[in-house]
Amino acid sequence: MAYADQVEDLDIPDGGVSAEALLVTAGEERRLHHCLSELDDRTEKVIRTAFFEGVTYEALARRMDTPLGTVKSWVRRGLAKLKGCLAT
Amino acid sequence: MSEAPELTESEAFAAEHALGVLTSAERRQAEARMAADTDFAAQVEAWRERLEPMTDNLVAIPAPHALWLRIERSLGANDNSASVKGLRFWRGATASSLALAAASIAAAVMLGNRPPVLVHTPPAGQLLDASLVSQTGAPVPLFVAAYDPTRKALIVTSLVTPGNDPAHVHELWVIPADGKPRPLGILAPGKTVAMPMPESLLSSLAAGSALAVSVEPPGGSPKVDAPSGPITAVGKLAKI
Repeated sequence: MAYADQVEDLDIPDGGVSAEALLVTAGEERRLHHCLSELDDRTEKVIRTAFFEGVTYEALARRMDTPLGTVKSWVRRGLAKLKGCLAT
Repeated sequence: MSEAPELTESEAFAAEHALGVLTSAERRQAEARMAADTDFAAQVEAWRERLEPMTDNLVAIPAPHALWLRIERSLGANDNSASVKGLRFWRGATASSLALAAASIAAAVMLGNRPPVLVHTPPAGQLLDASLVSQTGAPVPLFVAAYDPTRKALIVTSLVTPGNDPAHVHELWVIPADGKPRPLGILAPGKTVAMPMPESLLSSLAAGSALAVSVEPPGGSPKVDAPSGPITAVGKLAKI
């Protein structure tokens, strides 16, 4: 049964994501969601809306009836905090 | 959370590009900067990786069947309001004649009872795209290409800063499964061109076909079937 043994030794990829990669992804996702939730609600909402809806600063500012510069500084401060939180 | 240090102007721009809040003009600036500045390209990539897990817990929800029907009916090709208007006219015009009126009403009822005809436009082919990245140093996208099967055209954007090397031009090649490069045309730096594809080349434009850009003397490669200069960027067509 030499052949059978050899076949069992073959590392046949199933085309799926490896269990290790899945664990890493799950960890990254948890960390990001944790860090997003650490932001104040308004900033979290703006960043999520920007990411998922692909809307520009201008559109966000119009939608929130807030000056463009203010929205921009919320997002930039939020992103800076996010980076800090993800790095810890 | 403690107050985080502010992002540098360059990193903030990279993060904003990854987040997608920039206007189209700013996006073009960011793409051009990514092509020219590997540090900036790496910052954008790092931000994409940071933000990407946001999509991980999304669950696809199939649209209810009734919604698809409503969308199909709302499409211009399926709009039968013009024939309904035509019917009203004929009903009015034949009102004086009872017999004709009866016939037209019968026709109206017949037409009215017919289910709406749904036009299914056959898909014209597969949309493809490719990002052609630099062959030296860190891989940076230098050209992006998309194949539009309805127009039978390859739309190619050069992200190269104009004026860097006026003595040479960039020539685009497709390398189909047979491995023989076919010239597609010259790409002007910083410009987008739509290249109509001849029928003979359509079969070469499939998922997996390679696109390459070579540096050539003005006018393109003196050889018909091969680049004469170095290959500066390479990419593969993939289904969108």
